[in-house]
Formats: sequence, structure tokens, C-alpha cells
Amino acid sequence: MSKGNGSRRTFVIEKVPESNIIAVDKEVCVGCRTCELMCSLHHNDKFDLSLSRLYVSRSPFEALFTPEVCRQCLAPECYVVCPVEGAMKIDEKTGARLIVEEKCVGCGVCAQKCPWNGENRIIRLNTVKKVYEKCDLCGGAPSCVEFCPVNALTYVSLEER
Amino acid sequence: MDLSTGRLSDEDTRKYAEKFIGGRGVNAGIAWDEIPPGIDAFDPENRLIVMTGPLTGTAVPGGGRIMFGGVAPQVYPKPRYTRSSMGGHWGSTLKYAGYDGVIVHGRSERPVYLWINDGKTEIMDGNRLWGIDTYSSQKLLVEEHGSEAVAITIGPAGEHLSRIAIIANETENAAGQGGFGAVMGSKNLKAIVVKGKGPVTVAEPKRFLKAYKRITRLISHRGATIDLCGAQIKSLVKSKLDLYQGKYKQKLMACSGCPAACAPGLARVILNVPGKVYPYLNTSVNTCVETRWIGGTGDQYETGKGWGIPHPDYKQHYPELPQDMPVLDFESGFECAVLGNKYGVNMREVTLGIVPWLKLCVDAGLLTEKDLGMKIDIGSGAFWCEILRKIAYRVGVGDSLAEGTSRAADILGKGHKYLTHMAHGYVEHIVGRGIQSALPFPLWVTTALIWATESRDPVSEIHSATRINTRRGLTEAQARAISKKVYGTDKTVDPSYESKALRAIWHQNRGCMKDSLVLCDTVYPMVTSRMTKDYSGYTSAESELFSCITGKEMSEAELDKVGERIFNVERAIMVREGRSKEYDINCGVIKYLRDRPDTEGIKLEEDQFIKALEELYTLRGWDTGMGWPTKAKLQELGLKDIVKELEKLGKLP
Repeated sequence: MSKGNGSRRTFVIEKVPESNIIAVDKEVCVGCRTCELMCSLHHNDKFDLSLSRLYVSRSPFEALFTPEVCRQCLAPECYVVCPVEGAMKIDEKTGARLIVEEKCVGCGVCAQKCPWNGENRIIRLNTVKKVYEKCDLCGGAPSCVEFCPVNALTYVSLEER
Repeated sequence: MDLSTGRLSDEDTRKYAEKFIGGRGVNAGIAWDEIPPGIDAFDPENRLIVMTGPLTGTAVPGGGRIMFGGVAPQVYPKPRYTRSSMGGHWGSTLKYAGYDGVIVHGRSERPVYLWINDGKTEIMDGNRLWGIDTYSSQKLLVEEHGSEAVAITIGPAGEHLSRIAIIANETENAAGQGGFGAVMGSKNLKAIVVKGKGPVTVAEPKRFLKAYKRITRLISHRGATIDLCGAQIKSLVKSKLDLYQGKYKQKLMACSGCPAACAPGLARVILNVPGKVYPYLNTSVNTCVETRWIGGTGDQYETGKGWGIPHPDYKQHYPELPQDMPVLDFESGFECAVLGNKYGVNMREVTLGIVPWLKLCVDAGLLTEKDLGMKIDIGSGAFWCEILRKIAYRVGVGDSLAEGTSRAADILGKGHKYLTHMAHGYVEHIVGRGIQSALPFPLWVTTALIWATESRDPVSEIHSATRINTRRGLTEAQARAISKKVYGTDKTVDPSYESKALRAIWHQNRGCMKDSLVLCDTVYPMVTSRMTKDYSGYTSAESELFSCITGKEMSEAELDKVGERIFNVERAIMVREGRSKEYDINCGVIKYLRDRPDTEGIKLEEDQFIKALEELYTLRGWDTGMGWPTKAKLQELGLKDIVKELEKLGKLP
């Protein structure tokens, strides 16, 4: 396993295949946070908001609930900037941008560079495993989408995008 | 937390959890041990006990609630120990912060608030928050402690020790009944702010998901649940439909981890409604209670078929009530509801207690403009906004009304016959009269029995006790089949007083257990479901959830036994406070239902009801002469401390 020296790897963006995505309808979201709880249950077998890979920003006094999920960007900064060879890959089936747990060294550059990760809750550190984690689309059947009671989250395949 | 000394200490909840699970049960256990009997609600020695349960903080449907307990100032004629419950996100966040609950006693010299941050607790200066309404104080606290912080606060009503003051969370979640806001006020405690991200473990995740799917399927008729209604919600949110003249945007809001999000017909967020008296755009949830101002929520409002004040049955069966009960235009009614929430006043007591009472007293000439100190215009929002202000700040007549309508009638010495208060200082609820007049005999016999043996409006038990209702689509044969399955007899369906005590006990025990887990009574116990062909529900849902989450296997019967234990502790607290059969009979339930016929003209038969009450005592293993738990029963339930103390008091038959 070769570990990078922190410099940006040469990379051709056009070669990154597109991904399926989770689409968000914030108008419909009721702010129950079931998605967060079910995300951590799926990945970590417990209810733990600090381990959820998406979050709902709640402003109850404006009735504003915004689920923030990984966009699986067309030009994924996280994937591009990762200094470790093989620590990030594209899921063949779903196109999800994945962090490979065994290879991640926990440097956090992906989390820093992600333009949507303002509160560090879309790509975030698992403090126990000392690796970064992000949405992996649950291998094609995202738990958050399955359990969203109001269909505020929908799983959109490549063909439907 | 002792506010008198500023001392904070941690207590191990396992001491109580073994016997009482959590929530309401642990509250009762602590109250028995710690609250001196007979003290006033505003005594510094009174406790405000806030408790989560083992299912709080999980994704269990209807698991977003939390229980409050303590001597409640609203209880009439004398404050007594009782409970109140609240939804929202505060309870789960408290659990994530590493605490099962908070016990507050003593009294602070100056206004303070409590700040709980991921296992650390601090008493903070609350001076700058004193006097500020519930919405603004929460916003200030969230601004200071970060967007992840969740606060419960009291408004001016709580600060002025109104007996109908609420503890509020977000726009409309409240520990409303009981007046616990005033208990916080009396302790000079403005708010409790929590923040945390700790985990809640699940022993068997796969088993949990299986139970979860079964439950959500069975409740999917109720509202925002998985797929079936998702499309409906989307159209509600997107199109605005034609509700409220199509003027305002609507949404739904849910408690923590709950896919039920109440039913869309029960609670809706309505955005940016302009106030008519105060020039603000108000956004809030309009629930079943607050919408009494305008005659119902959502579809009910539109069709006029709600169980609101203008409900046709209400007029028909309250011939003594005027036909023109105050129904405000939408904007005014919404403004009054929001204002009440901001002041921290119990809107149930206002809309169903004070509003009809005041209207009737005014019509009868008992209350004049001089008494109220203002011009009387019952149909205007401005009038009710002013009444709310008077209540919150105890101005003029508001000083009496802030004591709750029952006490206001005593203080002013008039209007007793217009009170809608049935017993314990609480407005009647689900007894086949008034706004719930659609409830037929003999269902209201069961709810009346629960009322008569309880310390408050027992809403968390009587909601489910009326589900096997042939007016809700079930045939009589189906009702009998479900009754047989759930209670072991179909006699509960017979139009008589027989076996109604049996049903009452089942729901009381279940209610205690459910409130200890802590679960929501709009979902549990699942006695019936409209999603099954025979309407049968899923009564073992609670035990399945408890077992797979805690890893401690408990059957439905075992959990019901815990419920029975909790009910007996609560009864023991009442007995120690002086409660007996005499009180149960004279608390007002019998008189109220004897004087007012239901929609079919059936009145309560006093003799038969007392017989049913005695049947309840017998089935519970209580003394039928006094209505007290017996030594044998308490010993069977493993309540040795209670046996010892009641024996000393000479109250142990």
C-alpha cells in the first residue's frame, strides 16, 4: 500500500463516472430526524447522531427543516484531493464516492475540501475508528430514503437524473 | 439539582429503573421517596422531575416524548402530585447529553437556567431571560449555545405563578396540563437547555427494524407514514390545497424520530400568518387544542365538521350554551393561539375552559365590562388577546383567571354552573360530552372510571380506551372479537356497566407502562388498526420494542405488571395525600355526567357507576370500603417501603 505524500494526485475529472444520488425536498421534510437515526443504525448498529452521515438542520420557529446529504458531486473534491492511493473509490454499482475504511489514514483533507461540509457532518471523523466516513448510498438501498416517513428523500438513479 | 444551595449531583436511575422502567414510573418512585406529603406546589421542597424512558432517543414511532412529575398547582381543590407529558426534541436530546432525567428542587434566589452539555451541567444566570416570552427566550438560548441546543422555557405566565402555566419547547410542544410552568417559575428557573450527541444502543437492530416496519404499516392511515401517505403530504405541502383560503403555506412537524408526525388533520404548521393585533408574521403549529379558536384544524376547519366549538353536536347537547360560541376569523384565532404559546399559558384550559365560561358568564350578566376592566367583544381577536395578556401578567380579572377557571369561579364567587371542568380542576375530556360528544355509551363509562381514580385528566389512557368504537367503522362482531382478544371478554362491548372496570384497569396499567417507556398515546397501545381487515392491532408492540432495544426480554404480561405496580405507587401517593373512595365518588365525575346526557340522551346512573367503581377496586385487589391498595397487593408488587409507611399512617387495609 502506497501512502501519498499529501500532494494532489494527477487526475482527470472527466474520467469520474457519475453517481446515483439522494435527492432532497426540504419543503416536505418534517424534521423528525428518522433519517439520521436510521443511518447510524444501518452503519453502526446503534442510534448515534454523531455517526450519521447526513443531518437535518432544524429551525423550528421558521418551520424550516433541511436535510443535508452528500451530493455525490460530478466533480468530487473529496475524491480528487484524497492523498492516499485507494483510500477513495467509486462504487461500481451505484457510483457513490466511497471512503475505503481500511486505507483511510484519517487526515481529513476530504472533509475540509468538501464544499457542502460546513458543519463537518456530511464527511466526518469516526473518533473510535480514527477514519473519516461519508455516505455510501448503502450499496444501492439507502436506509434514510427507505425510512423517511414523508418521502422528503428520494433515491435517484443515474438514468433518472 | 438543588437550586437553594446551587448543588448539582448525579443520581443513578438504575435504582428505580429495575422496578419502574423510566418516565412516569420512575417519577412516581422518586416522588414517593422525595416529595414530602401534603406540601404546596410552590414549596421549595416540591420537585420538578423530568424523565426520559428506555425508548427515548431511538427511532421508535411515537418515542419523542418525555414525562414531567411533581405537585401540580393546577389540581383543584388542592395541589397534588401528578404528571404531564411533552413531545418535541428536548427529551431525546437530554438522553443524547447523557442524562435519563433531571430532578429540580429548592428555590434559587435569582433567575437562573440550567445548561446541560454532553454530560456537563451548569447553573447559569437567567436574569436577562426573565420576562421574555417562550419563543424569544428559546431563540436567545439557541443563539448562545449553538443550533444543536434545545431548550424548554417558561413564559411570563410561569414567572407570575399562573396555575395554568406551561413548560414550552419550540412552537407548541408543551407540558401543558398541571401548571408545571409555575413550578419552574416558583423555583426561579427560567429554562433548561440541553445539547448532546451521545449514542443510544440497540440490543437487536434487525429485530427492531422488523417491529418498526410492522408498527409503521399499522399506523399508516394516521398520517405521514411511509409511502402510503407520502404522496398525500407532498400534495398538501406543495399545493397549499385550498385550506385556509389557500393563502398560507402549510407543513408538518414531527417529534424526535417519529414517523407519525401527528395526523395532518391534527397538527399542521402554518407559516407567516399576519397578526391582527400585533403586527408580526406568526409561524406555529396549529394543533387540536389551539384551533378551538377557529373551530378545528385542517379539514375540520374547512368542512366545519371538526370537533371544535362550532361542532353541531356540541350545540345540540349543550342546550344551555349559547349558539354563537366565539369563533374567530382564521388570522385572529391563529394569533391568539400563538400569543398563548408565547405567554406560556395552557391553551387547553383557555380555549375549552376559560372561553366558554367567560362567554356564558358575560351572557348571563355575571361578568360585566366593569368586572373585566375592558370593553367586551366576544367575537373579536383583540378581546381575547387582551384576556391572554391579563392572564399572563395577572392584570385585573386576569389575576383570578390565572388561577385556572375552577379557582376563578371560587374567587369571583360566581359562574360555577358554567364550568366545563369535570374533576381535579381539569376540563372534561373524552367522556361523551362536549366536544367529544360523538363518543357513545358505554365507552364513556370506561373513561369516566379512569377519570374517577386518577389525579388528572387521564388523556394518555383514555385516548386508546375508546378505540374499539363501532362508530369508527368496526362492526359489532369485529369489536367483540378484538375485545375478547385484548381484554379476554367481549362483555366490555355490552351496553351496560359490566366489565367496564376491567377495560379501565387494562388501559390504566398499559398507560402507566407506555408513559414509562416513554411512548405517545396517539400510537400506543395499538388496540385497533385500520390497516388490517379485522381492525386488530398489535398490543405486544411495546414489549417487542422494549425487548429488542434494551436486550432485556419482557413479555406483554410482564410489562403490564410493571404498569400495575406504577399505578399502585401513584395511588399510594394519593392515599398518603388523603385520597379515598369518598373522593373518587365526589370528585365531580359522577355529578358532571349525571347532569348532562350524551348524544343519545343517556345519563350516568350513579348506583351502577359506584358498583363499577367497587368492581374496579376489587379487580385491583384494593379495599372496596376505602379504595386503598391492600397490604397483600402491595407486597405482591414488591413495594415494601410503601407497605411500611402506609402501615405507619394506618392506611393499609
